[in-house]
Amino acid sequence: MKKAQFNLLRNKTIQLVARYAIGGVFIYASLDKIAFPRDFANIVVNYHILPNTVALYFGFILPWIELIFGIFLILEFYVREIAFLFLLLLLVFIAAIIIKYTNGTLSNCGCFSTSQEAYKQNIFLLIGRNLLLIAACTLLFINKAITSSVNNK
Amino acid sequence: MNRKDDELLKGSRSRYILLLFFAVAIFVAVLRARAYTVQYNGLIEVCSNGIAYVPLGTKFVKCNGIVRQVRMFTKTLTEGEDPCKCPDCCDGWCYVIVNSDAEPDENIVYPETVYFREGGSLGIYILWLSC
Repeated sequence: MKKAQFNLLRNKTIQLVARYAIGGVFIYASLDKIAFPRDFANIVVNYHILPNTVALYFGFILPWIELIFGIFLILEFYVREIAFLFLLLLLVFIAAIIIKYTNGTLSNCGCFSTSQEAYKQNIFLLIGRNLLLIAACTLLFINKAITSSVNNK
Repeated sequence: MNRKDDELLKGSRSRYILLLFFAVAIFVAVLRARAYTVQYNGLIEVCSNGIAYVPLGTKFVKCNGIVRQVRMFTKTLTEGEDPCKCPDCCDGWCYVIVNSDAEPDENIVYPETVYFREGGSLGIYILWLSC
């Protein structure tokens, strides 16, 4: 890896911005879902990807994972592990949105809100936003991997 | 104990407190999910053939397997509302025709206003759902 790229990855300001951005987005996304857990669980069921029972449990548990791990990220606890987890989650979200869109049934994605006003969403905006977050998570994950390997030498 | 050790200890303590809070939150979420799963399996399907009976106060129903929130019961359709029959939607709403029980002079009933009712007369209602 070139020195300039290496330094960019290890830049503390970029890391800070990435942590706060990812953590902040996930915390914000979790609030409405925690306030209205049944509505969000119904949205997850309506994706028709998971079996109904699994989807219901996922719908109730996921917002708390988003909230707590978002807080952990901001407080710089378990950054590498949480960045990896959020990376996987975002990939799953993108896959689910694409599946629903190709089925012609994309209404409310449940990304930030469970309300009906949120149901008219542009798929490219949704995917683009998730890709940005994936990039930030990858940055954090790689940075921590580099830091760990440097410390172990 | 020096200052650095003290800070490390406080960081660990905060971490464990947050982890504990996380465990409790997940446990409560699982209990609520379990309770709702039972409720979910009992949801009434309103879009299949025939006219379903839906008690006033019902908050969620299924339409072709999709869970939808009940917005209100009305006695009649107004002009222009005919194309909004589920699964087709108009501005986030759609309707189905159901049987329900209410007093004959009630034209609109919202589920959240139904607390305790003694049985009214059975009749045909327009059930409005969120899309």
